[in-house]
Amino acid sequence: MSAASEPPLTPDSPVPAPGGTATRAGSSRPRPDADTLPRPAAERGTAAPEDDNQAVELAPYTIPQVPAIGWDPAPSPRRRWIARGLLLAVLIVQAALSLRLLAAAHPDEAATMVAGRQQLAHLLHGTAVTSDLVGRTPGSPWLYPPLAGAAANANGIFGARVLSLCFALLTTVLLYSLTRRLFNERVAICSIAAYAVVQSTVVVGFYAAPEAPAVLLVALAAWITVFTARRPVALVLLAAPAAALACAVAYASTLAMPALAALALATAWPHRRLGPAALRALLLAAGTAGALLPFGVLGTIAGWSPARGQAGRTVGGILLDTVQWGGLFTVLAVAGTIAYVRREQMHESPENGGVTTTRAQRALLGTALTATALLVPAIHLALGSSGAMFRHLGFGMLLAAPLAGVGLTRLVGAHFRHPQLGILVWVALLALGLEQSALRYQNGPDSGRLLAVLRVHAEPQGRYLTEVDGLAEYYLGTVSTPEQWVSARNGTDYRDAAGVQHHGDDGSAAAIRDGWFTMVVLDSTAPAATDRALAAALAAGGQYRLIAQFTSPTGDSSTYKVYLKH
Amino acid sequence: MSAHPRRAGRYRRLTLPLLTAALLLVTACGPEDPGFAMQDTEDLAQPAPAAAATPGAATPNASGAPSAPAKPKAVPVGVPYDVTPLLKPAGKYLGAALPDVPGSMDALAPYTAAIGKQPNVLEYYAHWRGGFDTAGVRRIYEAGALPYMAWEPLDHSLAGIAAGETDDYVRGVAKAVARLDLPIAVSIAHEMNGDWYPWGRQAASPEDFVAAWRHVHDIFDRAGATNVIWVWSPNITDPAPNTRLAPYYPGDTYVDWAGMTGYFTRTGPKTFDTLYGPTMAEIRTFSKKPFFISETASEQGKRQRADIDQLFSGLEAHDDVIGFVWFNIVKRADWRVEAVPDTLAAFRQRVADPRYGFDIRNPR
Repeated sequence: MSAASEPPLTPDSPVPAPGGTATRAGSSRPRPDADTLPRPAAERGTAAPEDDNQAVELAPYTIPQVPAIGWDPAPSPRRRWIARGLLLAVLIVQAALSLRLLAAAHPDEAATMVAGRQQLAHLLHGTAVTSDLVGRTPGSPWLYPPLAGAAANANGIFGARVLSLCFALLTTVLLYSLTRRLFNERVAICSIAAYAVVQSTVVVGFYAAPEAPAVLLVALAAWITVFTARRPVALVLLAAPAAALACAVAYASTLAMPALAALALATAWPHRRLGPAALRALLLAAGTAGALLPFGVLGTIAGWSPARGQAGRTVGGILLDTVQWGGLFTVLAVAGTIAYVRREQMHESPENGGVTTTRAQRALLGTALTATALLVPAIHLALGSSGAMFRHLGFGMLLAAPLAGVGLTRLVGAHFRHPQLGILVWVALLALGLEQSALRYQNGPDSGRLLAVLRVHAEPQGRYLTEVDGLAEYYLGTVSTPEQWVSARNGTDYRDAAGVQHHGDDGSAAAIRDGWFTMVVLDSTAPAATDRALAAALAAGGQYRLIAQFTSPTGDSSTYKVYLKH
Repeated sequence: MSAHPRRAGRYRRLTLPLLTAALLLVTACGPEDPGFAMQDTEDLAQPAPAAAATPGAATPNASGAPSAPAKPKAVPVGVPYDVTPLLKPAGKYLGAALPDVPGSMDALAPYTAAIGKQPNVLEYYAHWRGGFDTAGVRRIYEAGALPYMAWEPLDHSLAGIAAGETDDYVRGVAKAVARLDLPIAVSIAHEMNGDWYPWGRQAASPEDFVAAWRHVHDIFDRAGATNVIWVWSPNITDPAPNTRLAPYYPGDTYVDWAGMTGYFTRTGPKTFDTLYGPTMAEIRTFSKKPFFISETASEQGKRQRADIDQLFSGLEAHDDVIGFVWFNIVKRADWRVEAVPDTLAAFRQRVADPRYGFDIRNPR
């Protein structure tokens, strides 16, 4: 055949198929329609080409039908089990990070357990609550402390901390679920992977304090809020008891309440008009406040301060703490918010039923979730104290985690284009979390050494004033009773020889001047006014001698001082 | 290949109970609480009980060598030495200042053999410069005695010390003392009410002395050196009757013992009460701290034996005088107790009383 007689080969020109049927050269592969699919071998046998009498034997296998797209957004058992496997892996990592933090109880933990044991005994047997540590718990004394007391009765500080670990792990599960609902599976996995390794999660997950159950309850309230977004507006009230309970368990939960209300609005807005969505937020806020009102908790919360009982800190110091403890995570969440506002999807499998959102709606959701991570340091900055910020940051980290997950997925890019960036950021988060959580447990003077000294001097008839609340009451039960230890942070009611009644720091100072206490324990992390008043009274009286001083091995300025009356 | 649906369902149902059981197991087998673990050490910070060979009960063996002191019980690492039992012990300190101690402990054994009992305080004099003789102090303690450092600011004014001129040096000493973690008595600028030392009343005001004392004390406190017994040590008022002691007193918070330097001389007061009484009476007007005779001896002569009797009788008559240091060095005179056999015999007889020279590691 001559070249001149052949038809020209252009992209649109038909080319002869092997079977004699012409197809378009522009089609990269044949359409998997019924006509072109190979038939089963049994039906197939041999084919006889039209232009050749010789029979051609076909391959003894079949090529399955090629799907139209490479992935399927619909739920499947494989996807479900892979996601659950990753969730389990994250939970194992989180548990391992927390469980490695073995140390003696911190004063706050010890105070909670002492108060909790007494309250539990009061609830079960009606015995009187005599400890002055009941008011030390930054939450309702009748919710978390008895629970911690029961756990402590079962296995001491380890039992109470394992209880917190259970709360923390459940929080991570809820976070996974709600993030998946808000965004998608990939974001959810990234979100919990980042959240599980930050310092606040690791520490609060192994710290006998009411923040652990409170964070869980906030997560539950957020979960209900997200999952009822497409349902009738009134259903958001289901989240109100959890939110109210969170506020009662730990007063610091109120820091997360504005974000929860905003979340109620932001999650409903794409599905309904702004008015009903706003009504949803109002309902949640009103429902939460209404649930707290009958128990008088609202008034207590109004009088509470996140800096209560904490020493002051400079603005620079608080900013440094903020950057160290939550800086990278917050930056990731803010970056995620910006990326999310700019672009809703990144070829991920959508979980929201294909509802498209406007930029304003996305901005509201991103801001609502990220704001608490910024609000917590801002409040501590305004109050000039960061003593309890490592625990309060947990609320901010929880709510910002979905956006941090978005940030991480956007960093990796579509089709896992830059996995190394995601790995880099996660490893940095892990390293910071590891270091900071370990430091958190090593920080401060060695309580074991302090207790060893106190034990030598504790007597059944002694009276002790201590700024290190809880430790002696919890650990020195064999040589003293909790009633012998007076909390200097709470102050002392003392009547002097002239019959004058003194209260608070003045009472403590007057009692020291009169030599009322056998031993005085100072803690530099106590409020400065208390510390100053006690130190001045000790110096002026001349009846007490400094017998031991313990400084922090990590170089922070916290110090315990033990003065003995001679 | 996937599991059988019914079996998979069974596994799923078992997950929660299995997880709960594992959690309970972990809780039940939890590690020991470090807060309790440290306290479980027996008799924390408590000294060992007295043994037959303790300084207080020791008598020289046939060769005259002192018996080895009892080894103290192990104290948890990091718990500061508790000096409070040493502040007002039931017994009385039997102290000595011996030549070359603590650089060399050679003088200790002959002295112990001579008086029949090992001293439980050994005083030495340290300049306000150089380092802190950690090894020497440790040698004294290991010999069974409380180290007593008379710290002499020969090259620095008290006003300069108070102003922080020597802070780096003082801080270094404070940290070394804290690290040493053994009991040590320290006096600063002793006999400050006299005029024979460069820091005496002719060179420094009482305010300078008090400011310097408090400044140094605070540095030691900040360093965590709670193992120091602070001995405020004026000279007896006899040679300086017009110099009041109260302005020199840093305060009860800064002082553990009210020391006194007072020697029995041929021309001075002849009795315990006339020698120390006026000083003790004056100090009692502003302080209730125990008295400690931080330097004494008797000048050789006819009265020496009577001086020994006066010293010990006075010590036994006053419960608030907790001990003394015998200056057993030839300096301007021969103060050695063993120089005169009669004096030595009297001294040996009086120190045989069990109240003298208790074991500092078991003072109760």
